Amino acid sequence: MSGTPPDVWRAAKENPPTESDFLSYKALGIPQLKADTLRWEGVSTFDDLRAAAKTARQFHQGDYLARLTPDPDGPVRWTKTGRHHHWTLSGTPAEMLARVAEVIPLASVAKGAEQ
Amino acid sequence: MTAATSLGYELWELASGNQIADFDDEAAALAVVREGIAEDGADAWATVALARVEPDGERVAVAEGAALAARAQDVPAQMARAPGLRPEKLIVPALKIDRLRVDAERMARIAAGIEMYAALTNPVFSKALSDLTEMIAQAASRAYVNLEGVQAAIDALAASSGQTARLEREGHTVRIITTDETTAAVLAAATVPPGADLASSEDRITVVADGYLVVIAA
Repeated sequence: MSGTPPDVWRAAKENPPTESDFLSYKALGIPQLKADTLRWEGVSTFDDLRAAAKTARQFHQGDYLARLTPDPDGPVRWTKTGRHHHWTLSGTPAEMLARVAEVIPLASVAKGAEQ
Repeated sequence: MTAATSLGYELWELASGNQIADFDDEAAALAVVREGIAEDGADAWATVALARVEPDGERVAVAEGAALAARAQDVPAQMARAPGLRPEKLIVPALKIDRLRVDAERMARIAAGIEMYAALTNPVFSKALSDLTEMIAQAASRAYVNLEGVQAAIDALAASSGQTARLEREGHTVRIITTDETTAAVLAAATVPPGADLASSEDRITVVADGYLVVIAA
């Protein structure tokens, strides 16, 4: 995509995160479930910390939030998908793990907090 | 916040924490869930959740797993419940009878014949069989079974006709085992709605009698 995409946040179960925190559901052996291929093979993130935190709490996705920074020349592709702050990252778990710049506890993001 | 003021709906796969798809309204999302379950089976959709997107971008869980499947099938939230054991979970009423080996037309003839015979010669048998088939048909259509009622009907059936019949339960599977072919055929006929398009479910009542096997919701 043109321009530099934003930093994005993804829930992680551990600190530091591991590759298992960046698995697509295709990688878990789950069928495509009517998804487009991009989202089946990709990983969900949010460009808004509050949205990422609330979704992580809502669906019990982990106790940490990892911030990933884009590298326009790197192997991980950022794609805006769906609505409201959602981005799909495409790449290997190792490549995505290499983009992690910061990890914070989910508990440190107060409910209702703004980014 | 009402659904009418939401900014859309999303399906999420919870084992991986990834979005599946997004929709303008809940009906569109549920239609995809129905199609998906029919194609992939309920197990594949067991970790899927539906979320409503609020105007501030917050995702609010609407339903997941079996509850989502039931919502997609439009199962009533409040069902009339007869006295008896409650099922441990609500399941999708759509079924896949993949091992049914009884001819439907033959079953209908047997059912008509047995009802006529029972009405003429044994009203207790007729009443017990009628009660049992009605409860099983309700179970198939409402994803709920009145186990105590079924047991009572089986006891009455066995006592009135001398047939061997018993109820067995293992987890969510309930089996009505009878050695009588015609009883099994009548029960089987009660469970298959005409023209039904069925999908698989892991919860079932199994009616077994000398090679006849029917899968019913439990």
